[in-house]
Amino acid sequence: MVKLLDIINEIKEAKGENLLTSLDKDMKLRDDLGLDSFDLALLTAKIEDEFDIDVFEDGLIETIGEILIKLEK
Amino acid sequence: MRNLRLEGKYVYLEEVQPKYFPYIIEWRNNPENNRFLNQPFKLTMELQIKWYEEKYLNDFSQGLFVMVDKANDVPFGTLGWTDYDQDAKRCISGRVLVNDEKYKVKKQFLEATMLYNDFLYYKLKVERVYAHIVKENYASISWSKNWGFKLNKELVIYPNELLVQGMQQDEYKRSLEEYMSIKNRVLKVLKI
Repeated sequence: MVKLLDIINEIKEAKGENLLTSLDKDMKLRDDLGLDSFDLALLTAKIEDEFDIDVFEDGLIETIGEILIKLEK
Repeated sequence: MRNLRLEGKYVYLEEVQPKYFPYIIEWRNNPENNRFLNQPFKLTMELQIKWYEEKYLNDFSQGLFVMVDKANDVPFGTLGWTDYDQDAKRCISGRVLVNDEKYKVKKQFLEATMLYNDFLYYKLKVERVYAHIVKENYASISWSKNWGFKLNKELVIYPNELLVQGMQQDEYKRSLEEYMSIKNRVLKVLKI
């Protein structure tokens, strides 16, 4: 969770947005975190680099919890 | 045919050719994709062949790439330009179609966009790239701004593009420097 928070904050920092202090599994990537397609593509690439998992391989995911499930597999 | 091919780590881009027509027709006719297209008519194989043979192959002011995922050789979208003006060093970028939603949030689309933009700036040697986006096409506006485009608040270069098929569009523009700042950020993430 901490590493994922760091990755998301890297993306938000580059956009000049306020950083998050924590993540909740129910947070929605687009609606709650304000990530658009470009951000999500960066997020996917960073997660793949860090965890060697393509979280969007099987289709779209919407929440932090869905990413965590993928990372636990 | 110009037989253009751009090679990346995760994707390659090939200039449009008949083997891609079935894909393009399917993508173009998908209501999710053609909502904001300038040419929203139903595309048929006959129309596609006619356009390709009579228009495209004789018109060097435009180009269309098909993005292909190297991992599985699956074509997943298009990117292209029109109105290339060698003397004015500018063109209009667009023709962005990504049929499979998951590719919109994948590194393959990032790399493909980068290869394509490198081609515009370094091979075609344009200094300014323009884009025209329907005011309500928020996803495209967001994507374009992320890639460095800014609303053109100065003299509109292509006034005929501001109203197409009854849809109002805004003109966006981007310099090489504006593109490079984004490219460098993407390169760091993709590590290529």
